Amino acid sequence: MIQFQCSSTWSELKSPSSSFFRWLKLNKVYLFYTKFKNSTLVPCGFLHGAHPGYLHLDEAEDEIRKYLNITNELEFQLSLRTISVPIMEGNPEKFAFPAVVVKT
Amino acid sequence: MPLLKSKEWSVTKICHLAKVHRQLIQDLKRVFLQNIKDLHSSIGPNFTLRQGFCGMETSPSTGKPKEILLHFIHNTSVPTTKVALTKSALYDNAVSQFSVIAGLLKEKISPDYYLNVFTTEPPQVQSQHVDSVSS
Repeated sequence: MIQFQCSSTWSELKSPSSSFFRWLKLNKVYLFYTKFKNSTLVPCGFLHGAHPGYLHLDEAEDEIRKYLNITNELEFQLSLRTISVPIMEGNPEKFAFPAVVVKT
Repeated sequence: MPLLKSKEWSVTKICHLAKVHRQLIQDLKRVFLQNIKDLHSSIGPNFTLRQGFCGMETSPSTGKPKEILLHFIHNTSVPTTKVALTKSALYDNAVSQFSVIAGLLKEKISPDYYLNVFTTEPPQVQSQHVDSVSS
């Protein structure tokens, strides 16, 4: 795994029409986006009631920091994904749902 | 909502609330509003446009007890377009109130703050879908 920073936006990097993305796909290189230096991101929670199709992630992060008085020392980011949680303790069956996930 | 179990948050409790979350999300319907400035704009001392929208209630003509009209309202990738989310049961009520949104905003907001809210075009409900996901 490697980490790099660049000035291009995430949507530019992941654009299927870009030669860079085509090269990545051809060579089976996968990207994930982090806002802070970290080799792994752990999903620790989700925003209950937040619609993953409409929430503006950047705005929501700023608001969470503001209203919960969270300083920049506590690094986290929001992302949209389908997550799954066990239905019962010890049961392998899981319940999957789309959500705005808090990762740190 | 945590995803990791703890003494307070059992696996069953997390799963139950996840199901409530999905049910709620699936029930939401959207209404696009056009020609309105940023929802963070101030419309009073320590009071934003978004807070104003989120405080809207169902109209009394329904004969039912009043309830909060919107689940939430978001800015979109189009700076002057907003998307309001409401429970499906309240959708008609929301559309009805938003059909006169220009008058409603002018009635509720002090003229001192009009520049923070209105663009050069009058606010209105937009019937076409726009891409609203920013990131």
